[in-house]
Amino acid sequence: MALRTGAFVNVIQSAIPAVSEAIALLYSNHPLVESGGFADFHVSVRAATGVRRWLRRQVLFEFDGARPFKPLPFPQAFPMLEWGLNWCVSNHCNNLLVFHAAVIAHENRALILAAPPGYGKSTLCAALVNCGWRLLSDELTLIDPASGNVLPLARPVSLKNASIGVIRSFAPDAPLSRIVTDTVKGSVAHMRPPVGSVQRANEPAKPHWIVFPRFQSGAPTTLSPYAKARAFMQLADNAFNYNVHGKRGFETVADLVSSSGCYEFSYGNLNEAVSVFDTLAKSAP
Amino acid sequence: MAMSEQQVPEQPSSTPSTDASSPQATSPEAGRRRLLQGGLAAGPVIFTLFSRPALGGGIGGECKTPSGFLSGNLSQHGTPTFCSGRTPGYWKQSQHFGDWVAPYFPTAVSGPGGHQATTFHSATTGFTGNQFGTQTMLQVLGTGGNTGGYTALGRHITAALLNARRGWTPVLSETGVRNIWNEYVSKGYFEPSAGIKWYPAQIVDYLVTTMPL
Amino acid sequence: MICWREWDGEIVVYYDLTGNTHLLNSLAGLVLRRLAESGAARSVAELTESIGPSVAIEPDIAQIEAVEAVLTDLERFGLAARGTA
Repeated sequence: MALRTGAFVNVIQSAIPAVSEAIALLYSNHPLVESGGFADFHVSVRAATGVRRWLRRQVLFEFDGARPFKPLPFPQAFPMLEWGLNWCVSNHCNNLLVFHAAVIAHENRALILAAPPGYGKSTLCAALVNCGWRLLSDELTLIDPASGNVLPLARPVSLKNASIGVIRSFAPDAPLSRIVTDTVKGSVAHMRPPVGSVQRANEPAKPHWIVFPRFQSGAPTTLSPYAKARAFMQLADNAFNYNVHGKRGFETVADLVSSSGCYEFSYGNLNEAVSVFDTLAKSAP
Repeated sequence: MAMSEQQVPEQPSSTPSTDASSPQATSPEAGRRRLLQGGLAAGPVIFTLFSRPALGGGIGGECKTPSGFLSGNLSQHGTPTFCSGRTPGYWKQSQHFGDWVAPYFPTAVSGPGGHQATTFHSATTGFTGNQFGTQTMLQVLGTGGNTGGYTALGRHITAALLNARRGWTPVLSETGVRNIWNEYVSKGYFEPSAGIKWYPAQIVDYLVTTMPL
Repeated sequence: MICWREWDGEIVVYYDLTGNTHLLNSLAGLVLRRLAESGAARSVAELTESIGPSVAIEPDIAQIEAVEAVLTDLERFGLAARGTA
């Protein structure tokens, strides 16, 4: 099947029922594309052959017929597809600057959430997109150096461990995939992106805020300005391909930082966090 | 003594502040990543992002750039970049000679279109120094033990170069491999990040993570 | 070619020959800027004087020593070069 996710067309082949089931749930709003046409990524997820097929079933990810990864246990087939699609984008889009960060938007002003794993970025992202913010991406922020705009992906939001339960309570109507346990990240599940986000996946957004969040249980909710020069270094350090772009990469990140309000954000309560972001959204341009 | 700068830089552009709150040089919260932990220097150059291959992180078969490897966090970026590099043991076996990609050759082939076996220290490999004299890459791969503290490094750096050429290590290019070896030759260690020194054993530890197969 | 941007006294610098990007403190940024503005070789004493009291330097470190330390660091990263007088 050929699915469009923002700027990319993905041809996905898999005979594994759990994968088809997850795609049917999480990509139900994504436009299908005529097969046989141009595609950016040809991927497949299939059971590994050989003795292991019966002893301990494993699953393989293939990209353009090559296998860039070691096999994973069979139950991880769908997460492997998602991770593999992330890999496709982060490794093959050197015309764009790709950052490891979530990005959402309010009235086409983009807010980039950059933080290491475990800092609560995905939980925050999932909550905010259930409160009116548009999802551009939960994992990969794509910047077009020519325009400085963020290009959306609007793929399922990846949640892990405790954040699965948190989002289930916060947004009980948001469709969630089955939970897959014992992955290297712990338990993972994926949330379907809001239909509005998918419908607008071809609309870029202009960067306006850069936030470095950190969840800490019991912490007071505080949003404070963050030095732009340090925001620059943090962002560049979190880019997959900053070095590939050379001077243009430097200029793009500098422009991004210059045109955005830079903040660090600490929170212990998700509702309070959402409320702070609502206030930010209503602030003067 | 006089100081001169090497090139005329572009004029610095100060940013007119359009933010609601004007940014202060706040003291960063402790514990937030390298910029705030040990990576922060007290001196004039506070932090340096070295020109390294694009970042990558690993799942299972851990695979990162040298600076990414430093932080020790397994799933640092959540999005996997996998390496499928092979070990020195793999590359030295004759049944795998077909995997060598030009301009690196394991053995000499005579006649038209023939070639020499690639020497370890050569313009082809770009490996400086003379630790291995006139030995070929294949001979270095086959050297046992860790004589002089660098033979294990030589085996792994050779394998790393072949892996990079083959495209099996997205986080480490041929240039990256050369830089590691050549910095070791010139300084006795490799610095994956300012102030951090990797001696041969640590470099080998890192390279092994790019060779899960 | 060195490219830079400044925000609130801190400077980020990209040097295309090394491909490295650096975050400099205000003193280092000022030194680099003075070097760039002059376009010619400056002595350490001249540089220190031109910076003057515009940047707070810890009172127990002689100003010239502080600028020297900056120059040593900049030289280490290829952002400045020591010439012969």
